[in-house]
Amino acid sequence: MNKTTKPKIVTIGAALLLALLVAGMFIPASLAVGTSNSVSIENAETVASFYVQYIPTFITDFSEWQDATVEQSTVYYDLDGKNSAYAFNVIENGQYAGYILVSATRNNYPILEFSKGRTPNAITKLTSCSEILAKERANVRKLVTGEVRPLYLGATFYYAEYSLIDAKGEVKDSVIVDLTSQVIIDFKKPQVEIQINEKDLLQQQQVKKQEANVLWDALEDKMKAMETATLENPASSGGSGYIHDVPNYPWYCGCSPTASGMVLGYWNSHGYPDFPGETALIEELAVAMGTDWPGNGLTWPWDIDNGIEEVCENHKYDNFDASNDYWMTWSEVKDEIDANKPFVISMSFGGTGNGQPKPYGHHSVTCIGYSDYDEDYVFIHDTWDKDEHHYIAYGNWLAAMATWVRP
Amino acid sequence: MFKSKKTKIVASLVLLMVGGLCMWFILNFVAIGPGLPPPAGMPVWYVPGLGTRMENGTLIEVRSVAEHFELIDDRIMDESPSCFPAVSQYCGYANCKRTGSDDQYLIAAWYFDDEKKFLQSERDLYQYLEKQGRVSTVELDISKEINEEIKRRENRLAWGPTFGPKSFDVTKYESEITSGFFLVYKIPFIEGRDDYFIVYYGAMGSVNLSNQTPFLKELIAEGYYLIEPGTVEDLKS
Repeated sequence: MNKTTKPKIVTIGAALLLALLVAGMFIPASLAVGTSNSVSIENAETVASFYVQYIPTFITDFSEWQDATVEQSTVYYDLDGKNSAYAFNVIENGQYAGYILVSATRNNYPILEFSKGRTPNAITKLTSCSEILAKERANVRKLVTGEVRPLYLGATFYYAEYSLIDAKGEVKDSVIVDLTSQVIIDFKKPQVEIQINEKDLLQQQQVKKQEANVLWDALEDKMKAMETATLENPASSGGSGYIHDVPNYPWYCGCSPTASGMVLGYWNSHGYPDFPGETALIEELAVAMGTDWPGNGLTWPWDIDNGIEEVCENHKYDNFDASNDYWMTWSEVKDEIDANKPFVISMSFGGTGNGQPKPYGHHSVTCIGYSDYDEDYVFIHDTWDKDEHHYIAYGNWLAAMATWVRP
Repeated sequence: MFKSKKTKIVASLVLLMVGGLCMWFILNFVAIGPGLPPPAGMPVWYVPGLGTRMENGTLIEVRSVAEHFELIDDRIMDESPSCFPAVSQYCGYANCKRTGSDDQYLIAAWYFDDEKKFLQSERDLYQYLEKQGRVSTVELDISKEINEEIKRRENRLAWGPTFGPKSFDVTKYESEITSGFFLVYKIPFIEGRDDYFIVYYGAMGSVNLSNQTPFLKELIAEGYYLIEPGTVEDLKS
């Protein structure tokens, strides 16, 4: 890609992206219309109650949740005013111990998030700031703010929707504030016409919906089984895979070269010892994949696989095949890890990894493992932590691309 | 929103397709990176937190920090430790103890994404420290500790950039509540990007700082991260 063309692409891309995001965000709401896939809050609470006690069986750092209970906290809506998710507070010994977010539709994965932290709409600092923004907007339009409604539109998309009321007390409009970035979002603005490949897109959406339904069924089966039996060993109903000796590097030159560097660093100690040391390897990858470095560390996704192959060839490893996969599936993830082949996941609007305080956003990470039980997780080296791995729920992103690296 | 069932279905399908295209578009035309945490997540760069490790198919909680420390609890984000003012909204801290002792330590970080705010806050903090205790500038040499940290990382299949000076000025702070060192990391990631950190490494309680300095240097080396032309220096008044 010629560097001089990038700014133009960025500009056009930004406009298109905004429009597409808006369109994309309406999808869950629209799909819910006329379907019977909604989940009641009572059912969601049953799921949450079960799951908080199930989590400690496969994640030891949630061991204190073993005897925890849940209480209803927040109902989230989509842009159409339909329920999108339910948040439940996790209570341990009478104290708040975290939250769990359950989908309000079977078209999405059952457990959307769980954490020892708080949801954005439960953080006073964020809600206060968003309220100020909403009031400022209301003042400009000579209106006042009314009721506030929490919105959840997918990983990282937490919003607060304030109704705007006129002097007669009538609701005239609403304003939506992004709780994470603290900006007003205008979903009505962008208008673009787009040509689309209908077949592929429908197929992808259908696959995701099917995966979500399978997870719901599996979860409900497990809950039924639990009514008469004690908690079974999770290993009997699922599986996990982990590559133990993938090196861990913190961010350097950009997340994509760093994440790719960990993959090649792994191969360096597995039969391909001629790769350079970490510093030189990451710098070489940054050059090969056209990362803006020295600069802002941005990498175009389509350059990641080519960059990895180029570096391999530079060191006489012509047999390496690196390929971008825009439609990564869960079974591919498991197969790759089971074959001891770490790979790069480049996510857009990525959610929050365990132990990390904020979402990943547009970020490349190295995938080093998976956990395949009622909820699917990938273990990652996220470039933000030089010591330990983190994990993120599979699908806790708006979009993700795998870069497979196979000698 | 839609008047008939047919319209609903058609609208749903259209939006479904647009949404799919959205995914494809994002993956193709949205650049990935730089991949650094947002401002609110920045303090974690220098404040250690609980980690996890896989052992025999089970995730194990990891509390260790450097060679001889372990976290007492997970790091606390968006809060400043009570012994210091909240000079930035982007802050966090962690308490840890030294293995085999009762000594407790504090690691705290304040992040700034704006140079003006940073300079003002730096002055404010300096004035606060002068009121609360004794403040001076000293030179710390962490060459030995960095080398040990590099070896430790190699053993753990880890790596981290250890560019920049290994001997630099820091602000020494001594009080009855805590004593330790303030480091200022300026632009440690990307040249031209406003990233400023004030990081504190201290021992809790009334301690002899000279005795604690070797331990604090170990913690400083563990967290040391700098990509040049970024700098590490002391607090300016």
